[in-house]
Amino acid sequence: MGVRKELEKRLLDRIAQELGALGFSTETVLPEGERREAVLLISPENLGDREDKLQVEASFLPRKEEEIEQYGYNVLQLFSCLRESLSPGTCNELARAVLRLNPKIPGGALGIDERKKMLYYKSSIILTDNMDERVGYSLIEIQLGIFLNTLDRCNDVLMDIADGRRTADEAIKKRLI
Amino acid sequence: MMKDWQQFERNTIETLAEEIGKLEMPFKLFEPEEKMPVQILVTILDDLGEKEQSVKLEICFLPIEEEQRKDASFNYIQFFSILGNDIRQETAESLLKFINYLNTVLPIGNIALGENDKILCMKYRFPLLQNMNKEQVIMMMDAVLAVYIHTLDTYTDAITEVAAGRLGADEAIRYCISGDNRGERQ
Repeated sequence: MGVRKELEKRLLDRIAQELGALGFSTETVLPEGERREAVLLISPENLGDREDKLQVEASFLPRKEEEIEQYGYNVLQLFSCLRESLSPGTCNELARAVLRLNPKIPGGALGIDERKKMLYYKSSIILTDNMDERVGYSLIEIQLGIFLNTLDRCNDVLMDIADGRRTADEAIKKRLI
Repeated sequence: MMKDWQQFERNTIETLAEEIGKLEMPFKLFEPEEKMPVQILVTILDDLGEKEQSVKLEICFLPIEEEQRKDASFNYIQFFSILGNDIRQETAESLLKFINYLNTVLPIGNIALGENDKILCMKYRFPLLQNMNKEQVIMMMDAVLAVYIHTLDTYTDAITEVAAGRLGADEAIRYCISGDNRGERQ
């Protein structure tokens, strides 16, 4: 395992440890087959009024080894699937809602993966080689806090739209998004 | 007297201005005013895409309310660029589809329509810690700038073509997937 991979693993392990101490349930999924990077699965407390149980995946974006050596940084991505198997009509409604929400959220991007028919939220932080582990962990912790806060605020209205309880236009008119 | 977080923000923006100057990129530093109570560093990113487009990059710290500041151990910085003004209604649907695709593949930040769907923009926000030393801040900002510029270099042509109605979303997505992501018609 290269130095950088070791640093990535240590960071993911440390996040798991620290979040575990805060009462979060975590699980590390190691690289296997087509998956080149380890993924830390984080299960936060229930989000929004609906108290949905969402999972957050933390992983370093895959890059070629020579690119990593050349540029001296890695990108850690937080990703959460909010809903899968959406119908085309629901995808369109959610896409309109997401378009309205993205300028307002504090970071990252809400979006629809058309291929997987999935509503997701993702956010990334760049970590550089000269950053010590403590600084790297603190940045990840802050990013995760903002990530969960955004999910907490946006998930309910997006699920209302996903379940057909209101349209994107209705949510916009009521200033919910 | 400046508070620690104010000093950190000022030092960071001024260091960034120095670094951008060293790269021989033009820049201007706007001091805080009533309408916009933060320092803003503005530079121009040139030669983006095959059309060698220029895009303005605005860098500033986001204002945090004094009450929240007590709990916040970090400062939140934003890279922001306007990619198109006066987006026409006729291209909105196509643009929506393409923006949605782009946000799925972008490594950082998001592309969005703001100001009643009239302004097309890209932004990336991330935290900085006040106890990061100058070298750490410079290296992180260098890395962010590199990824930000690479993203714009890769997608600006296609975005502006879709926004202008000269390229459909499906066509633009196909070009991006095939690696011909400049948005040029064949």
